[in-house]
Amino acid sequence: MVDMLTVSNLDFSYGDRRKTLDGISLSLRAGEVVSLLGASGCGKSTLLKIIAGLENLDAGEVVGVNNVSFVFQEPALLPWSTIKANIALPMTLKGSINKEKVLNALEAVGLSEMKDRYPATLSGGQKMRASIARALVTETDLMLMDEPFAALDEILRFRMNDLLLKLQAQENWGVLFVTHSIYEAVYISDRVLVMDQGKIMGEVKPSLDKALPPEERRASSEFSTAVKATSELMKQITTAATVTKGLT
Amino acid sequence: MKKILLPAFVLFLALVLWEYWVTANNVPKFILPAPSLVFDALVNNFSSLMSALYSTLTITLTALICAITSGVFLAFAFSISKTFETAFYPFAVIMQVTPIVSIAPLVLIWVGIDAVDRALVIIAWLAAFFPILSNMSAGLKAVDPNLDDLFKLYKANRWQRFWKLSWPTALPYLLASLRISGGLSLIGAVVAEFVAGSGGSTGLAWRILEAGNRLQVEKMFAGLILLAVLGIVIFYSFAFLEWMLLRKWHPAFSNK
Repeated sequence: MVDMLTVSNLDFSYGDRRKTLDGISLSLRAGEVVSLLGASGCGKSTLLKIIAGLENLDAGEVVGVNNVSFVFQEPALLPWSTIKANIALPMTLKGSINKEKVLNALEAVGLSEMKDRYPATLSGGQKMRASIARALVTETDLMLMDEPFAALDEILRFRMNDLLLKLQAQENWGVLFVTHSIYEAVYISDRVLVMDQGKIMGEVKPSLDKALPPEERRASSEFSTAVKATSELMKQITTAATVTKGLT
Repeated sequence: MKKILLPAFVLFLALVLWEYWVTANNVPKFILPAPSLVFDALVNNFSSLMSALYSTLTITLTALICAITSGVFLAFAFSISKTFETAFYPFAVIMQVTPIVSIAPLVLIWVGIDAVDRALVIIAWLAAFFPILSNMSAGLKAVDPNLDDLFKLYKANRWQRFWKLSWPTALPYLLASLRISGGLSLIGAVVAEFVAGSGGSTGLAWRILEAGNRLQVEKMFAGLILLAVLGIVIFYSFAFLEWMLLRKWHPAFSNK
């Protein structure tokens, strides 16, 4: 299958400080979910912003980005607009609103009855669903998600993971998903890329059977094996980084 | 209801005590008139006091409109150009920190000889302008960085960014400043009328000054009451406007 996104030898730093991203290369196929996993400050979110064009890279290349949607850690909704107007925002800015598409997006995330409410009256999970619905109306190919469910409790996070996988399969999105959670990364991803100090240090392929119901998939031996493999990889990377720091 | 009844009861009690104390001790009315005498003065001079109130209100509102227009425009210019802000912001601060009473005579000399009202408006504007500029500037800088990124991602143009993001973000800041500046504009107008004295001013402050010169203290109190009422009406009008515009979405109102 052809890659929809290719990042080659990407370097980036904020001002004179050390490289935030150091020679990053990765690719993403249509319909593939790839997670970026790593500790805070390892450059995951910066990488997403560069791919989205929100930051300028210092060196390297990003190819194949046409229609991108971004879901932030915060829902990033306009507090003064209704949920319906928030979801229609990408179309409003383009100058033509397709009402049917907005209503379909609302239905897809289960917010039809909340369409005339304001964000302040919604729960954290509902706001995040609205944020995903806004990405739905853009007919995006590539979904960039920066720890979108980090602020939610575990049960809600599981539900949102399932909703994301359902919509991803339906829309055939390529998803680049930043997270701190090994469980989340393994559950939703075709590949998990582990990052440390601005570099991609390793990769795990969970190979879960997506046809299984969510509970069975979480209880499967493939899931626990992949979680264990990812944990081991992260442990090795952390130990190596500590030794390197000690030597320098 | 308790919020209205409780202070109303305290006021009523204070008036009764005042009336009793003044009558019982035979306090001369040119020192402290009884509330009943103040009420009489208010009724007997109703027409002239209302005309003075109208004059002060006109000055206050004209100055406030000028302050809103100039404050919002300058804040917008500051948000576009950092150089412009660096060059002009210190002068706005100087205008704010210099006591209005010390500037007022100068303004009256420069523009007040031919047109006193214009000088009064300028002085009231000087008093009301800074909170609007300061709050509006802060509001325009308070845009959520994620929303800012979102607008960049959706390729919003500069006007769309202003009308759909910066302006609504700054609106609560502007409305909060109006409650402050409404009162300051009235204070500015009163100070200006006091400094102008009998040089053509016809507002409430001048009426108070005139009554003071004639030792008509009850009339002074009548003028003061009207000024206080005017100040309260201005404050609550802006509080109502704030509630009307923000009640549906702002957490300060929508969660109540």
